[in-house]
Amino acid sequence: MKRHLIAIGSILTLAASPGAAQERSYTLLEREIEYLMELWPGDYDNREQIQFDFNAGKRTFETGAHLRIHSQIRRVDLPAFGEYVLYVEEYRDNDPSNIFRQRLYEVMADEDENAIRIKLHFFKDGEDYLGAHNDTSILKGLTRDDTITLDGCDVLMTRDVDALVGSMEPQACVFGEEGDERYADYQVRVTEGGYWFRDRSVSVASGEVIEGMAEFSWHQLEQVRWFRCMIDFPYEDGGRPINTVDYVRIHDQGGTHTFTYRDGREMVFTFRNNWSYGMQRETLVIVVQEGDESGPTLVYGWGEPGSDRIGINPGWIRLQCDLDTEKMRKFQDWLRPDS
Amino acid sequence: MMKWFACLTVAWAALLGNADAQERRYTLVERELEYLMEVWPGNYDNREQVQHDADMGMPDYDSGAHLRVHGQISRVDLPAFGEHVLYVEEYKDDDPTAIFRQRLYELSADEDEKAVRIRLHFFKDGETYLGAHDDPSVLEGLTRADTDTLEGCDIFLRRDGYALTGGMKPGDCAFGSGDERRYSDYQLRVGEQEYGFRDRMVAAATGENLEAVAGFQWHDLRQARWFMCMIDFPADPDNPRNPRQYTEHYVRTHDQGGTFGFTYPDGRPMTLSMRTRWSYGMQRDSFVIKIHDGGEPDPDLVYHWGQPGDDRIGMNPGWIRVQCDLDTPVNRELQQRLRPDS
Repeated sequence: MKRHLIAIGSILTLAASPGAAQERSYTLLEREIEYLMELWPGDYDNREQIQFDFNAGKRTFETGAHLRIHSQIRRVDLPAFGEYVLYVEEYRDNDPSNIFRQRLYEVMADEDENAIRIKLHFFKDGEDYLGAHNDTSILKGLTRDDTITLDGCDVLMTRDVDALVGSMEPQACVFGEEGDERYADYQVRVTEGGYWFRDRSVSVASGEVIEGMAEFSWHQLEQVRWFRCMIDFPYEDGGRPINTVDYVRIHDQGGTHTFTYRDGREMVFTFRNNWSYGMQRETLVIVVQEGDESGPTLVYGWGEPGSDRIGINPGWIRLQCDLDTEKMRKFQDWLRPDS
Repeated sequence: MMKWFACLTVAWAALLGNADAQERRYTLVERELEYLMEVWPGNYDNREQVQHDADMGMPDYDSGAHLRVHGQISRVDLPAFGEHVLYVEEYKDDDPTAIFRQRLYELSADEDEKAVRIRLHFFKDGETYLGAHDDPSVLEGLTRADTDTLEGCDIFLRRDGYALTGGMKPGDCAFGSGDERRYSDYQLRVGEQEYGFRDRMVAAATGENLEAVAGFQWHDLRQARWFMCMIDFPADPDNPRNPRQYTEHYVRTHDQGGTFGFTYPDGRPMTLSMRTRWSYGMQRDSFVIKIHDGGEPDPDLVYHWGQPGDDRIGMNPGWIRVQCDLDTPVNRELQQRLRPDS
């Protein structure tokens, strides 16, 4: 009887183990990784930095402006790459098809270096995995054979007050033909609500910068919040805007949506968190312009950054934007705008 | 020398004594009193309740709607009335000249009743003291001889969850005689950011309500936040593409139904309203500014909304620009410096 009880006890213990989280101790570095994995995932954009470049007379990349980058960072479950893995997909110029960077980041604690080590994985066939930030199932079955890593190109991150900053080891990430060897110098900085990077390649022989974006100054991306907006038009000329013609998912760091108004005019709807335009503070703004973002402003409204909703109705259009949550989507789908 | 030093020490101690707050013990009722003095002062309005009445088919007082009341409660320093004194000035119908109630409340801890006791002081010459919530110096020199109190009309407030609620003792605030004898039943509820009251007059003999505001239902006033708004017009109204604007008005208004009437450059009367609407935004309140063509209930020409609690709101549909910022010295100064077309 006693043996029988012990056997049942063992079975129960075994059965309970897989479901329960395993208790373990964490080194300081492992805690930093946990922090980073919590902090970093999200969408980021540097729309406001581009505006400031523009205002300072730097209107193109060639004149020293930063690239407009939108970054999408997600934690993914790929045990073949370790416990802490990030999928990174970045695009340029507010165009999701214009891919700027696509990587898998294998994140680990390097106790010898006293740093978080990020091994950069380059996809052999990146196109197959595009969009994995929205649908991580695309990455199912990915193995280390499907990616390439480069020796000396790991990024080492350490704490800098409220940020984690990282870079490659100096002159370690070397590539290029013999006689034209160069090294990559890629640096990142991650804080709550912000992700910065800077990037250049330098001639090994001369130390001359061969490629450097915005004079190696930081691309400062701010974390975006996603909103869902109803766009309502009138049914007839002079009527109230009560016909919802579109439901748009848009973000508050320079998200845009183009549409054709009922009279045939092209318009663009923009959502931003303007730096300092509101004097001494940022401002959450929605704008409708004729044509594109350089066209005349037809209407705008503003509120406090962090606000969970914003909307405007000048009579000929109605915009209702709510933080994109399941609850708010359902609620917008219910709502007839003239009710 | 020793005597001189002792004198100096005593004088120094006296000086220090005046400057320092006196340490003392506080009973629970005294703590409740301190809490009340902290949470109550402010501006309150029941604009949304009145809207709700209208939506329910009660457009005016005669059809059962609540009165529209704006309460202005401020703590004042009048030692002749005790340590805890409030000046109360309330008006009706969004009209600051339509005074509804003007009192001095003398508050004290009544340990026997285990309640905060409020003695209501009625001004003998109220007009002299109007506006004291904005300028308490108006009350300087006020003595007890300048007010009347009524026996039995004190209010007793006790804790009720997150609020302090209470009223007069039943039947005590009586006046008149014979069949005309009646008593007042005034009740209060004060919580963080809310202040409610209800009021009736009851026949002493029959218990019948002789007068009852909105059927003795609670008037639910919400605490208002004050904003400074710039109202800007186009500098060149004939050319809508010209973004130049000038500021015509700097307006102080509040988010619980504040309004400001103005005349547009083409002569049309318009009204700016600011509200924190109940449930109109579905499942939540919404912070809204509107420009009405005419008065406040008239159709809106443009409106814009945000989250309740936001510290700013603004809109520009091309023909007007409205910029509202929480009324603080920093924001006032900022608005004065800001050319709207810059």
